[in-house]
Amino acid sequence: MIDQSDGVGAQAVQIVGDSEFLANGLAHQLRVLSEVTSVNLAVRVLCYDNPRTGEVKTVSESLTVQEVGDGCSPNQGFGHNHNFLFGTWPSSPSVILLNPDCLPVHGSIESLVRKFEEDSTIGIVEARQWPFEHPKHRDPVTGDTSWASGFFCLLSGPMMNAIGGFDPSYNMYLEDVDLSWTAWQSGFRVVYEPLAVGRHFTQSLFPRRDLLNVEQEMSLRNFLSIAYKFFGRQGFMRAYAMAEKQVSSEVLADATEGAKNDVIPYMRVANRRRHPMVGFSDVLIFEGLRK
Amino acid sequence: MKFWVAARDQSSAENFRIRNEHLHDVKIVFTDSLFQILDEIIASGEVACFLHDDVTVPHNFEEKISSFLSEAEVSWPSWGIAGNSGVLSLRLGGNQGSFVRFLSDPHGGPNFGGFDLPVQSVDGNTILLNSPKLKALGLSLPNFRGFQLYDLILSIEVLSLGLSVIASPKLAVYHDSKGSQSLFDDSTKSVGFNRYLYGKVKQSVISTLNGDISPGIFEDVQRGDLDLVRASLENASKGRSPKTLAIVTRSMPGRRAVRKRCIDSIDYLVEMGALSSSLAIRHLIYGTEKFEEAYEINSEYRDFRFIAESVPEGADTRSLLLVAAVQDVDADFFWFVDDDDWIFPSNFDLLGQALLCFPSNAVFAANSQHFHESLESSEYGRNEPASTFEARHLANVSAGYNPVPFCSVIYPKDALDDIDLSIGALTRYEDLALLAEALLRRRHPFFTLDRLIACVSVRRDDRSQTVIEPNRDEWNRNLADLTSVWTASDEFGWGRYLTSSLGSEDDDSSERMRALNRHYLSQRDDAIQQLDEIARSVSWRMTRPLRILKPVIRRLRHSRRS
Repeated sequence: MIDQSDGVGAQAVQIVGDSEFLANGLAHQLRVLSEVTSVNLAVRVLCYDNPRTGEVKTVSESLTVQEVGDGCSPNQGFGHNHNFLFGTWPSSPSVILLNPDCLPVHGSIESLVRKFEEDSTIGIVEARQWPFEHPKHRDPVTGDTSWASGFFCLLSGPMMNAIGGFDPSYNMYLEDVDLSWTAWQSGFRVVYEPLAVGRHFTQSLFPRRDLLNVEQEMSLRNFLSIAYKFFGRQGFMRAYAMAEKQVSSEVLADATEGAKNDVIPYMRVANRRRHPMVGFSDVLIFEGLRK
Repeated sequence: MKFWVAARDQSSAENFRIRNEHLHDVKIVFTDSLFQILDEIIASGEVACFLHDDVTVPHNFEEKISSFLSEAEVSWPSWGIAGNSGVLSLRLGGNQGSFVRFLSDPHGGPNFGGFDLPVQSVDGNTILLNSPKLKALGLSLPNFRGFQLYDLILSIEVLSLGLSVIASPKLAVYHDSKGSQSLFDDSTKSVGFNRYLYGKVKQSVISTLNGDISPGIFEDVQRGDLDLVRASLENASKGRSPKTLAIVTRSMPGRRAVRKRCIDSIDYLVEMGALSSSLAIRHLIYGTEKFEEAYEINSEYRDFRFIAESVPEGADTRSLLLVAAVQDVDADFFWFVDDDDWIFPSNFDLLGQALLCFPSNAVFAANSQHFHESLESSEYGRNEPASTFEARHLANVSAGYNPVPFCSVIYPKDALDDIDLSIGALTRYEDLALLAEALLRRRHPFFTLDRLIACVSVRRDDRSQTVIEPNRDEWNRNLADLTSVWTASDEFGWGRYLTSSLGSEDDDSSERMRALNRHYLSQRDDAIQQLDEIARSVSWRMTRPLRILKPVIRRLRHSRRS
């Protein structure tokens, strides 16, 4: 039975991971969480390859954790899984998303919450990734940024309710960009908070040269899809032309088929109104895909 | 044991028998498909050796195979096939690539010796098959025909069953064939073969001894999930004896923030790195004095030891800490990660597997990265990624400079036992001294992996960081001492031998040489500038007539004497 308290008095935290993570990494992540903040945390965890609901467990005086999953079909992607978790506490003022391979550093939860409370129009607060920061533009004074990575960020509850959460059709990668652009178009700000830091030793920065990196493969497919969703046919053509310079025709054809058949037909209808913060110069994360 | 020989005709078969008359049980097979022979060998259910008809085996080949088989029971409990050359998942040495050869053929001779190595695939000239196991697990090759790719496909099938593929010097032979690159290239264009590869393995590029293969993409085929690199290491590690890796952090007082960061990264590896249960990790912290954070380290983290009592005045504490740790800790491997370094834990798993199945006396290295930081930002503050150090340059130690940071290298215990770092009064370069000792004098085998495993902080405003101290006198004095030791005897001769092979590198080592050249050119320019200043000086101009007359006078004197 899912805890109906909506984490009253506690900051909601959502983690999605697989069975191996639940067996091996979660305990360490929770221990770190309880050490790095004095904020009361209510953590909900979805095991995407074996979703089930368990009892609420107390990890420390200020941290409880509950595995939640009854009614969630096995893995339908990052966006779907986080939407499901958010659906279990829809009246939360905010939720923090935490990747299973990310460990916050001391004071980061407080920094995210503090930034969020500065301005009621803030929809997303993104933490800084350490040791390799995301190479993207943000305003050095306001912190405004075009998109926020979902590895460790705070999402406004009202924003999630207003825009319906993530578009689940991406399955994996770029749904965080979609959420950010939708937030901007819906009147919410997306801001970067460098005082909040997540240790994220992501392997995606160092893809093995002998493997076609899944992240890059899906990112390319979703890059074409998001271009179509927000900028229409012309956007798709522009994205295609950009991709053409970086990948082989075979890989691009595969990604195009995937976008046409597996993503675009299932996407939500986007607001294609122009917005200065919505544009895809910073989302070319498939760079380096094998030619 | 039976030797199955694939013969192209009667004459080749006869020649094989004459050259290899000491083999007792030879079965000659005339066939138009090597896949068929391999299937027959597996179906026989007996350990057997497959040979090409142009192979000449050494006189004691049967004894060597017996020796391999008895050792494999302990060393390679999961072995499926073995050969005499193959593709490694790590680089052999610094710049010798990923191919190991325990044979001679018209292309050349062996490039390694002394140890069996786990590989992704073997060359087909000689293959020892563990048929009882292969048959029991139901291995059968796909329905292909011909004389190409059977060795790669057999290796893939063996790995997919969870068994290991081994290259062994005990299977060394002479193979009188250059192979046919064009036949190999043609066969890799087969659609059936490419569909098989795509449906079997994760790799988009597969290394083979004959060149890389890219299987392409097939919409109607479910992509395979066998990672040849990982499987070659994981499968070979099965059933082998567990190993212990000691991670040793040398720490200084007043470095609470960076030390915590270093410890956090090692915790991450231990707790979340999904390492093999056969690899135990011990993390110890060593300091030179009983500094105030010692209690905190002991109570919050792990073993902390200070060696204040045993440090003679003026001694190099960094070397002493290193020596103390090696004497104290019972571990198979040592990884020195100083308190202002940190590790990149999520990339360590392949190297962790290699520690379990590569030679236990090998030195391992992987990539590392410098970050520019400031003291203020040195915990989890903003940083700026700087140089990357690639482990494949490790052999360049033989050119006399330090190719990789200390935290990039993992040493076996016996490379460190009885280590003497008291050369002169060494206070710098103990890492270079250790590397030279291990690779060039003790001649440990070494392997490298192209993955980032460690990060190094460079803090311009931190006066405790000797690596950036502007006065290089101490560094130069130490390098003079080391150079004197290295050149005093021929113990380091292997280093000179290795240096001669460095010319094949077309990468950052040449950049390093260019940097050195720039350094010398800048020294030359400085000297020219100083000379110009002298030439422009009044005193130099006033004495010019004397300098013109001097050679004339010298010639006159000389002519008088003669």
